[in-house]
Amino acid sequence: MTEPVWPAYNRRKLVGPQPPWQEQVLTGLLTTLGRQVIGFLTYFGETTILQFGVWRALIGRRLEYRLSVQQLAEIGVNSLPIAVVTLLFSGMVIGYHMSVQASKLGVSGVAGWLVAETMCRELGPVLVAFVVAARAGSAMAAELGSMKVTEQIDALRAMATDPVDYLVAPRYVACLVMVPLLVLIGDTVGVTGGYLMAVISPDINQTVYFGSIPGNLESWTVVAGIIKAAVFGMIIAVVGCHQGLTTRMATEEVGRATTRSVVYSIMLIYAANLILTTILYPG
Amino acid sequence: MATAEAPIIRVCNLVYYAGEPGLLDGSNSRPILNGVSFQVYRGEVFGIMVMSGAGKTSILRLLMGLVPPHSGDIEVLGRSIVGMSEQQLNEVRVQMGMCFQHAALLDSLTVAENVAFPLRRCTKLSNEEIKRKVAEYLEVVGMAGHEEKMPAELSGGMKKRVGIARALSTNPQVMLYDEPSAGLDPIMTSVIDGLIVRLRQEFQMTSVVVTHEVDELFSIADRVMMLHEGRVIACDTPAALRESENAYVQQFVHGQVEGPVAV
Repeated sequence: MTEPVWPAYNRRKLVGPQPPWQEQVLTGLLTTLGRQVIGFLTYFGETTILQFGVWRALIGRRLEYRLSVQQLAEIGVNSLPIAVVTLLFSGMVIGYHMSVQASKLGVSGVAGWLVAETMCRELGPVLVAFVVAARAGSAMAAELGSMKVTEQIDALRAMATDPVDYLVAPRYVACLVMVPLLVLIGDTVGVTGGYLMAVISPDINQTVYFGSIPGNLESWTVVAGIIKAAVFGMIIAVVGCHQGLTTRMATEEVGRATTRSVVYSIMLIYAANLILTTILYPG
Repeated sequence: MATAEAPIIRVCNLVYYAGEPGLLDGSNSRPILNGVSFQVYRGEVFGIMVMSGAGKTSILRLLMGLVPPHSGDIEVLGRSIVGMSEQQLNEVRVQMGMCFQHAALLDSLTVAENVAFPLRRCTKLSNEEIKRKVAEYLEVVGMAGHEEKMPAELSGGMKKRVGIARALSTNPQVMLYDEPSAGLDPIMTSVIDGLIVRLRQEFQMTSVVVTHEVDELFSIADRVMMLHEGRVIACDTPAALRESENAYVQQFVHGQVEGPVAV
């Protein structure tokens, strides 16, 4: 049996003459950089493969319908109260600012439209995505992570069942459907919340506030927000499930995977939001 | 038990590292399985004894194709499973059953649903037939009457028995047992051991059993392989191993503190 080649650097470090400190520092930096690059490429590759695996399951009609309905309820119904509260208060804050600034500028008549535009373009999709990432994405990572640690994922594979078909695809579909739906509800709640605060301005009333929306808010703005939400949903499902499926075999790793799923989801949602905004609203 | 026919499992020069071999810093660079070769024949109960943490579960995971080896070849039921796609592996896995050390029951399903799971996924049996088979296998492992319980409501030993019923439910040609008696009382240990022997006698089922329990393994196995530091140090019948002059074998078989294996 030939000796493996990879410990060569270590062996030289242990038994050979010590290199000068400059070389040691440089080697250390390059090693760290290399490890980060490999880690990033591995993560990117694994999540891409997972994404394709889900699409293959959907195209091949291997979706578990019963589990998908369960996940629709789990992700949609359970995230709804937090999404409503978050969007209501955010809408109220935006409504307050808009009414004050619009009054100063003498354009109180468009305050309602400005709130609706803000909610539909950015705040609705992004805030709902954050809520679902924190509430459902973390739950996916924790659940699948626990299954990994207790060998349930291995047991599924041993029973000739692809965990991507059985576990990931239902969660993916649920996120893809429920995040846009939650955004529609959230947008409505946010605009209503904005109205509750906007009416403190003497120039704004119900007719002025809501009347400014239909004529100014383009349907594409709402549709683009829904498209964003669908992409964010995919990100949340893939990141959450990937973290769960790649949890290391230790109980404390489940907690780490859960935290990572939320952090990575939020970072990727920010990045995707920038890209989608430039594509969907080309100016 | 070894016969002239082709082995049902053939392992050649298997090398496996726990975790990925460290590409940059040489970590984890020592293989837990290093050039392991063995063969298992149809209808044989083949035992594997390894020191704790020395890769016994890894061998079963490798045989099931759950992890790929770093080098070497594994042939199961006449097909090399190394390099197979997941779909090809599934074609082999439906003819195998695996009993996990901690049962690995799906905790969102009831006992009956767990046992029915592989039947629903891998067969085209009707609901009635599945129900009948579930009841039959739960009866075999002494778990009748617990069908509607969730895994969280079961003791470790009960979970293990349900895990065995689940693995057996599809009538696999090869059964892999990871510590089948761990967590079981002596009576249930005897039941499980008797079951393994009965499956061989009645259905010519091939079993690979990994355990630390020397007496238990020697009572049911046709041949036993012993591994130390990732290498095969002995592979023979229980009687021959008892008589072996190999110091490692003697220390392990007799559970001696003194010997070549430092504790």
